[in-house]
Amino acid sequence: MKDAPAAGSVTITVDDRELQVPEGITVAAAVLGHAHAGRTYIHPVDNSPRAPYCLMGVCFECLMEINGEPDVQSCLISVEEGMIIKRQLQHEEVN
Amino acid sequence: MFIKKIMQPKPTEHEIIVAGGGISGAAVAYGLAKKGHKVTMIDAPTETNKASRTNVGLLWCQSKFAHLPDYAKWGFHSCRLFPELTKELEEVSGVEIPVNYTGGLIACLGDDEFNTRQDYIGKLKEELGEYNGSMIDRAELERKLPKVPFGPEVTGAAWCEEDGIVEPLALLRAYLVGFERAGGIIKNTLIHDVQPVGGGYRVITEDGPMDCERLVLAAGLANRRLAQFAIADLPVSADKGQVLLVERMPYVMPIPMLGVTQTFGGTIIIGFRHEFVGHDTRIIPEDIATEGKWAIRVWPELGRQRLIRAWSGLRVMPDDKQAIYSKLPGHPNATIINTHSAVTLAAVHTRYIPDFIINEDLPELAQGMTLKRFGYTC
Repeated sequence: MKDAPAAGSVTITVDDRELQVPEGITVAAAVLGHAHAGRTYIHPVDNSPRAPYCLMGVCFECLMEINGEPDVQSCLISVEEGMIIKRQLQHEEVN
Repeated sequence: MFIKKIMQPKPTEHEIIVAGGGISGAAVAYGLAKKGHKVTMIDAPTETNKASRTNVGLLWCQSKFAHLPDYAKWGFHSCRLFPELTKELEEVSGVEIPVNYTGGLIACLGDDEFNTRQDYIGKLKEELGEYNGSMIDRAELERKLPKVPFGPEVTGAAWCEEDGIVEPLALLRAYLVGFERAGGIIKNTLIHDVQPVGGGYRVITEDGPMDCERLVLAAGLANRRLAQFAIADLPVSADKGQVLLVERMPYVMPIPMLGVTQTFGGTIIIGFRHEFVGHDTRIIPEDIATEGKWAIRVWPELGRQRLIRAWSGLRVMPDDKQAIYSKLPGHPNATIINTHSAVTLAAVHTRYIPDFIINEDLPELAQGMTLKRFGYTC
């Protein structure tokens, strides 16, 4: 079976790795399906590893740093050309 | 060929029906089932539109009811029974119930607020005789919650070591599982009407009529509708709250604070409004803004965090604020329960109200909490 005709794609960076991903998909989808990033976030209360789950803005498990802004719900944001995405694998300690 | 008669479905037979499956209904239904009664609990299918599912789960006895000392003592008594209750429910249900018996705090902004609170607590101590709480200054507050950076206006707090916080959804879940394991039956259906029939009651539901020997109305605000057969104007009102939810943060508040409380999941619930506006559940941005602004004065860091939700809920508020445990006028087999503090009072509800339902006296502290105080004979 042939691949579907290439739709437009954009280049994003996930943890310093450049990726070509279809335009219009969400950051969560890109990180799961193209980056195969596994864990993307550490729960601030129990330190457990988390990853995008509900994909509809409800569960808050998909928080990542997007273009320098931390704790963004990545399932609600579409990829854009040049977007810089970082997994949040350490949470800030409150002193 | 048979001619099919058009007729009402035959009523099913039940010993006790509890109308209402929130924390109040579940607390007494569980207590009744544990005593060996055959209990059917009916809960309306819409699970979200309920006070038991919109609250933060404070176990709270401090700083209230100086004018109703028995009610204040009733709350303290329940808080003292709570550790035993949650341990039992966890064992019976297998549901883990997050709970902190760490005391509770009410932050004060400025000297006037601190002094007003101090005066009230002094009065409460006098009324109750025993009161395990006091005012603490800012330094002491910072020692209790060292990871919460308080705003400059915070002068101190009211402190009570008998308060705490429980995860209310886990408490409710544990009650429901425990109830079913004790032989109770849960039916999710809407009750249209209740009618006295013979010495018992016919509960008309969406799924057909159900008859019972004894009836318990624990349906919160819906009690006003369901008790119509005995009382036209139940003195209970909807008390609207609107709350803000702040995104998860590292867990810094093991001791809950009134009005700005960190949940076990790490989110912060902000809210303190009491509004008597009927069943209007709209979120009004100007209203919730007052709550957010106050919370930022207490804990400025919250102003830099994201808000992720706002919601409203209707508290169930008896008109004199005190719980109602009563037989309905003229109906010794119909018991009504209405209280704003279903979480805090859950332990006394489970322990004492089942006996009252099956016609024993209320414990002494609660004997003034019947409908008699509103002028009814019951």
